[in-house]
Amino acid sequence: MTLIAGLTILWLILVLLLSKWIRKFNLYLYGIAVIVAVIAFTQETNIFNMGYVGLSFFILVMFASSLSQGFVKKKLMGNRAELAVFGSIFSIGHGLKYIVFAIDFSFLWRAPLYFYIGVASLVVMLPLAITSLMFIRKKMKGKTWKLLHKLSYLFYGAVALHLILINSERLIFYIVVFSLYIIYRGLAWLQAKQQKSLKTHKEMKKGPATA
Amino acid sequence: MKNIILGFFLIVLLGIGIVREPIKETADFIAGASTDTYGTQIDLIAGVSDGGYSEDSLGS
Repeated sequence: MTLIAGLTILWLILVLLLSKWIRKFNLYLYGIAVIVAVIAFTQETNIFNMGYVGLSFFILVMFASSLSQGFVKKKLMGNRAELAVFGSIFSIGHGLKYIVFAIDFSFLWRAPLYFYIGVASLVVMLPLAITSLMFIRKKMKGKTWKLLHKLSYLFYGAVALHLILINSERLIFYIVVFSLYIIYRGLAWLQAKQQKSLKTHKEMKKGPATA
Repeated sequence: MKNIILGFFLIVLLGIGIVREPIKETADFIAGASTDTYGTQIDLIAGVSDGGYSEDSLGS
């Protein structure tokens, strides 16, 4: 809990301070993240390959769009793609480490349910991570990209289930974070619906005058 | 308001974490040691007993 909350706060501070710099040098930063993830993959279980670093990035990605308008949201949304790619790089390292571990210790086919849910979340995450890279995103149609990224809700759900089923000492942390996310997402959805109906109402009022 | 509540929750969770999880264990884990707080649940399935030693280990 200390690590995940601490890292999330650290990334948030870095985004608030260096948002432009992160965007400008994102490819170099991805390269550094890949190197760190590869090195961590070859080591014993550690902070990187146990999934804590990946999760701390995804917490920011999850909440970014449902925050109130303002400085924090603007900065987070500006670096959301980068944060998602960092999270994905470290999550891939975590997933591969455990898959290799399961093969090495011959429990790939008799692992607990949370292991398979974790692998499934990794599979869902891959297309999202690839299409978060700007040069690939630019090649896609906006509508297709948006539709594909609806899968992120499935990904967050699978990650939540994976973490809750592990039933670690951090269970309460995961429950609080994902419950808060559901509440925030619900509020954002209601707000968007309200704004849409207000807009339609205004247009309807304007309608007869312009006709 | 939502931002403040989220920030508050993050700081509270960090505070609870610091109280519940000994800082020494967090520091040890960052340094690469497997601790009680940050032990992997999957170790149990792979046949690693408490303390991180294999049950077949002759050294215990």
